[in-house]
Amino acid sequence: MDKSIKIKHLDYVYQRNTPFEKKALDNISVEIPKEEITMIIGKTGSGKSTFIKHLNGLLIPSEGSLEISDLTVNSDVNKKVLTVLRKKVGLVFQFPEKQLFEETVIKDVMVGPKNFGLSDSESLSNAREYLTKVGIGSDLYNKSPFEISGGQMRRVAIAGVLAMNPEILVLDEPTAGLDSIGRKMIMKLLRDLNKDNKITIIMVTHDINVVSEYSDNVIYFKENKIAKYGPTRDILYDENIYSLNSGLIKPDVVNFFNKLDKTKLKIQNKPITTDELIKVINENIDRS
Amino acid sequence: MDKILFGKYVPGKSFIHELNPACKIIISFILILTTLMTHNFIQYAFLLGLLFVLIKISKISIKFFLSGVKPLLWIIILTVMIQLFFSSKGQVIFSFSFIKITDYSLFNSGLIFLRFLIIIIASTLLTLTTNPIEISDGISTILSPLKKVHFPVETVSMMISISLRFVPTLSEETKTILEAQKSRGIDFDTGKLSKRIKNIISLIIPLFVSALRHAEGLANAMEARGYSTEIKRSHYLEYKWNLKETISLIFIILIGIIIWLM
Repeated sequence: MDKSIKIKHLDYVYQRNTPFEKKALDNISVEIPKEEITMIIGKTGSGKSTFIKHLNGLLIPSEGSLEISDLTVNSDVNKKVLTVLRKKVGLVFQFPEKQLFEETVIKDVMVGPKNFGLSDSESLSNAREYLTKVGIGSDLYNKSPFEISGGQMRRVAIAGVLAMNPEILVLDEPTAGLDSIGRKMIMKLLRDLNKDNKITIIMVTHDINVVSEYSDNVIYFKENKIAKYGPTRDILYDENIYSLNSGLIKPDVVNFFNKLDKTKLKIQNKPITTDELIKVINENIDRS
Repeated sequence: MDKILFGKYVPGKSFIHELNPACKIIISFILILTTLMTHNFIQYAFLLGLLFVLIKISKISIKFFLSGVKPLLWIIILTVMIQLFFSSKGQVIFSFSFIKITDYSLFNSGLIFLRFLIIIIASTLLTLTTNPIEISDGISTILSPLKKVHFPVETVSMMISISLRFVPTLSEETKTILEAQKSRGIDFDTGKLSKRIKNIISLIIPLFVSALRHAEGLANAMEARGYSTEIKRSHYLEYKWNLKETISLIFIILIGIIIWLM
């Protein structure tokens, strides 16, 4: 089986044939590897959110196509294909806590799996498993989702998508508006899901330090097109992407590394995560 | 969802866009009043013709306008159906179990259909060419004589402008929640009716929660900026009533009377 998500010449036009008509995606072609973490960066309004809505069939391409694990989506796709696609690709919206509606936390997490045809007992065990995974204790299961804190609501909502056992998890700014501990918990969770459950993670973020710390690949959107795409290390050490109006700043690790005096250092790989940076420093301390 | 035009504003520079909002509101009101007071197809044909001319003057494309009114047709059709099936007056043309269609109900539901259509077109034209701030200013101008009897005109116009302002916000919100629930496999388009009605709950509850959150946020923001109902407020935009407003108004009143007398 093919191990990547292929997007070919995808165009999307919003509100066609109205005065509000706007081209939101312009000839997007990209291959996203499976079982890796890919992050999407770019200014607000550059097409990131529109792009990810295509990944689970909420938006249908105006032109071009997507190939996601044996399914092909183009402008005249069958509705049944979309249902299968939505089961495979879980989409977590920005501020997903808005989608909570059931009487209790556990019931809300069970909505997704039940709708995709799992039995009540399977749904329940899935819900339990993923609530534990996102760090929601069983004492909260029977509370109303509107009684718990904002960070907890976010995690319950994410568990609600995970409980459908998606192969690919797509998230739109999952850490927006969370405190630093909440942010760290979510990112650690995503990394574990990727490492342990082999889930492909695709997420939009505005936090460049999250990109450097957790991602394998980066897609950089600019003015409704993909301006750069590649392994995180290559992208973040590419000076061209930090031009004046790109809206991007350097991650702390890159900044730190750039300020080191490299003539005296022995370096194998330029570091992008804090651990890698510490390793570089330690190795060189040992040598001197 | 973003196809519904009612409540949206399309900026432009036509004669209608630049008319005093109070005048525009009165004109819409007269058109609606005329529609409610008339009872035959010829009169409605004239009213539709008049609206067609007004849309032309506003420079909004007719095709765009009609595609925006189309989603609301279902509400009209539902009302018309009720009228059609459950009226007993007149001669029966067609009957099937409890449903009876009479010549009278057929005629009447045709009239109701047109009446609805005209009212929706007239009010959509008003909101398309007048932004929410202008509408609320217009309403407060029209209501201002009521200040003498201590009617809270400013508060009411603020309430109206906030409601209008939040129509697009909440419709965006509805769209997002709809998409989020669709992603969780909740089906709003197919399946049994009872199931679909149940599924609507997954839309309504989050929408209420978010509307309340918006309301709270807005109230705090307004208070933080010193909003109070006791203070006399001035306006950034001042509207003039010129000759063109007077002439437009007289013109519409005359046409209204002519159509009414037909």
